[in-house]
Amino acid sequence: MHGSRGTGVVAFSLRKPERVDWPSLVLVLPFIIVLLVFILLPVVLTVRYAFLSQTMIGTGGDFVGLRQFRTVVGDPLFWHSLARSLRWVVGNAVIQTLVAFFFALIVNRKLSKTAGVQVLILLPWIIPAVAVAVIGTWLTNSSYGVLNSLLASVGVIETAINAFGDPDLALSSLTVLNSWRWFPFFFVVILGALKTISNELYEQSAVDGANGFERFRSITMPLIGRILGIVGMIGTLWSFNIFDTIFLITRGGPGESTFTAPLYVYETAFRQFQMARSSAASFIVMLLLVVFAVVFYKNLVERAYSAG
Amino acid sequence: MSSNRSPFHRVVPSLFLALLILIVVFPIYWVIVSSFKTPQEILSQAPSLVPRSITTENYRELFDQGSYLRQLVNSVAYTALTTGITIAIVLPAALGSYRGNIRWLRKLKFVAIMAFVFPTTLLVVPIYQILNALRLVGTIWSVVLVNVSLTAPFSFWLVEGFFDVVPKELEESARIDGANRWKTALYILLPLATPGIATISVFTFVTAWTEYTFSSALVLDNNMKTLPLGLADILASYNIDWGLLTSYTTLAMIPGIVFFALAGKLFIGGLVEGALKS
Repeated sequence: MHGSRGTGVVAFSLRKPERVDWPSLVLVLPFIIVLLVFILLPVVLTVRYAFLSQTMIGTGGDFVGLRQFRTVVGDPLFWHSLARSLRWVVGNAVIQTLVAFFFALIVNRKLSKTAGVQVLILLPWIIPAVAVAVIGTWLTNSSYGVLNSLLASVGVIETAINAFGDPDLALSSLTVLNSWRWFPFFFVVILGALKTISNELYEQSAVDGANGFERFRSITMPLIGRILGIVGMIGTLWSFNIFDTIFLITRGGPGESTFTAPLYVYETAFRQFQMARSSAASFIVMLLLVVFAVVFYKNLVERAYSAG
Repeated sequence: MSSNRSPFHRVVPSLFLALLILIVVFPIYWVIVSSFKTPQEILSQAPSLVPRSITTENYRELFDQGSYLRQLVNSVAYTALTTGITIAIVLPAALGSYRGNIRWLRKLKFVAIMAFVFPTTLLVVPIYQILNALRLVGTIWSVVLVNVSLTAPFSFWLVEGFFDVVPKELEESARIDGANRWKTALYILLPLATPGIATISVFTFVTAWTEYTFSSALVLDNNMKTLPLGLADILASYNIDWGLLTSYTTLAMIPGIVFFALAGKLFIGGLVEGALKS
């Protein structure tokens, strides 16, 4: 990832190894401060709060050991929210990656030099999440929504579907809506990766008598497998992180049917004002995600090495 | 796959491309078209694809209400500041870590990509506390700084990727000609990373323009709200006025769409190039 450096640089640093490179440090400093203040420090504070009795912003708290963790672990709602996040993440990652990959494969040749069409396809990604929420609720409105009236007119449904109001449907509906917003982004990246595969490879193997599926398996997959893996991992972590779309449309409801882990963290902090408990929950979730990312990345890297 | 074999192979990709565009564009089209419908038509049980009569009444109501322009100005200000500051932080940092002689700085690219995928919504509470301690909650800077923290890691990663593939011969010949390392960086590295700079500008714009989660916790003053926050207020109202909501949504989408129509091609080129390099 950070391999190729110029030989000139190496020679340079060998000549003066003992001096601190102040100019570089100064240039990098603001960026490092941003990382420290908005990512590292918050993680550290999360751990600290999780061991305190503090409940409100700005009030001090006593050290209470693992009490907050015990409360969170003993809260069925927390486990339900985690299980729901798992469903959410798997649904989103699978739909987004598959849909993006599917369309990218099929329209690859059609979009040889037309970045304009890609700009059009990226529209859902550049509109605010709140606009996506409006689009979702307006299109699926059970009285005046266009989707219900379309489905009814072709006879698929008899009574209107309440996509976000039905506890059995709400999480799936949100998954579809969120995938609609994010798959274009992955579509563009995957399409870019497909474009790096030279036509000659395909033509050569066609001459050799390989059929479409064989070419897909022996040329396409090995060459873009790594990109697909990275897209899958980033997509997973991103969709886990989604808060706005869910919060704006259902606020975790109806009942608790769309109450995912980020909503648990947010609501515990800002509605119940249990900052410490929210931090404990947040810390547990972070640990789980780190484990996921490490396992996923290791498998991916190892597989990439063994393949190539 | 080959487009020159049979009619079947020519028609199918076109059909799926049309389907793809339909899936993506129709929902956006529908909201825009609804905003030009009369209240009676909006609430009719049999929606029409094209409005039977076009009205701008929803828009008049929207501007009478008076908060749109204020929120548009706020959104533009937050977005412009975020974009400017992100670039001002990321470019020097990428040059310093790439061109510098500090070994551990070279790990920064890996740290950046980790920071980028980190689920930041889990950090809403401590980030709120930090900004509160800095007395920034309720000011424009709280939102701008959070936005910068969301955009800087990815931007750094992408720009470094562009530096990584600059041919060494270019730099070496410049050095032989007597330019010092910062001069070569300025005249050789930066120009070659232009597509990356265009990409991070658009990425930063889109992130700041669409941000809701943090600003909803940080901005409480009505005069400081952004378009997404104003839109969320209407969406959350008990009795939704769909004419007002769809017209507001349209006007909240248009500036971003116009910007992206102009700059989107630059973004896609740099994104794909950068993502594949890294």
